[in-house]
Amino acid sequence: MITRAESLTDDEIIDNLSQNRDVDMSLKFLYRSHYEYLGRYVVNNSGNWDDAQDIFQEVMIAFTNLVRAGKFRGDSSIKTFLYSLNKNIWLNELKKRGRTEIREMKYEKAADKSEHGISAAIEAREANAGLMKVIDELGGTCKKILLLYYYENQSMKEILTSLNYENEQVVRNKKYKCLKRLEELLAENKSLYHQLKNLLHG
Amino acid sequence: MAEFLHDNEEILMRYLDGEMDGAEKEMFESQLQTDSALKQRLESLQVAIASVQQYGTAEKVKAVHAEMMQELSSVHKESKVVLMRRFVKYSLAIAASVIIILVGVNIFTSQPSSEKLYNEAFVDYGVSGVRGGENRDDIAKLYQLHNYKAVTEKSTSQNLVSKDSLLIGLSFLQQNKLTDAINWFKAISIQGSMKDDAEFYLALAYLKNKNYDEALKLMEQIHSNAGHVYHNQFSEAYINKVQKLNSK
Repeated sequence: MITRAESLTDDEIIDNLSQNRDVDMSLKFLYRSHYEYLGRYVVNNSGNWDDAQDIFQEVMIAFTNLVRAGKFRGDSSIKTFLYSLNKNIWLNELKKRGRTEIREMKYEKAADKSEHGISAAIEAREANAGLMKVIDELGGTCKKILLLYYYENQSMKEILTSLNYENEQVVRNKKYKCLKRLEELLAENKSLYHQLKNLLHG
Repeated sequence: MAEFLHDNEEILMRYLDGEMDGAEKEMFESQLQTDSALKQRLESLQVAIASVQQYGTAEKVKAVHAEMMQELSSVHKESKVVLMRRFVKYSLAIAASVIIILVGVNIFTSQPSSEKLYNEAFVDYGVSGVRGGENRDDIAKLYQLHNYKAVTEKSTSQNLVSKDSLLIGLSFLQQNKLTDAINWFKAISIQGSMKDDAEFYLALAYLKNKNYDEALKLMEQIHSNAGHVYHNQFSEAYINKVQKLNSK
């Protein structure tokens, strides 16, 4: 059942994710290498395997975003960093669920947010639901153009062909209008804007 | 004015999309230093771009996640079955010891033995997602097959990662070679990715070896550290039972 993934070094994973290359393969490698271990942390700390799955997905999103934003520079190993992300995101989730036992106070102390980008990642996670809504509000074409250009790193020429526009200038204008619309939507949502800014600069 | 704004937007986009050459970029960046409105506009466009990237990442991860959960949950189910079997086994063992205690209650006063407390807290290390180099596969596979003797024979091989060392320690523990187990766990518990696991099993090895003082010290440490992976494994009640054993 399991196809053996080729082994990747930390540097290769960071390279791939930051350049948005072989992302699927790199993510799968991270799942195979770390899911079980990080999941066990959640399960051993008042969670179940469903929680562990959700938290691991959040960890992968946060990690990929941090790498892409240049916020993970490999000061620690990926394994150590993911462990810390997983721990912090889970403790934050427990806190959100409103466990007011004394243990939670201990949790808070145990949570180590000193590592680069972790608190920004937690904030970004909070922002995620709001972000989904905002991007969906943009509408299909805008979403597609912006994703192709800024996420998939496709060139104007490639987008021109795949979306059937007359010329590059049309795509360029459309892209700018979409970005401007997104900018406006984000300006209406101060906390979302703030959280995204933190991820960018924090 | 409208024309000027348009020009400025064009310039901002050229900057953001990396279309400026060195000289133009330099000029733009020095303008940024003095023009705070321009700087603010740049930032809000950067945030918008970051939000697109974040959205793209979330969608990508979700797709991979769905696929990987299917692959990994099959592994997970296997380990659950093992744990379940263990649970049944221990339940039977505990049930059996209850009967023995009940039968012997007139002769002996009931007292938990170190062995019993050991069984109560012991959770086997789930070997799954076997991967990596030859050596590692071998050790994890042998452990999974409960071939503990073969695992400990690997203790002299080169290039052991901490997971291998942990499994070697565990295999000594399973064979009741407690001093060896203690030495292996001690070495791994100093630092590294298996630190929490090593500390947990080290505490149990001490308990089984009747080194109660050392066992208690570690158990209390794990119990009071909420961030420890095995934090819930040693409850206060459990530690009290070990203390009673120690005072006998």
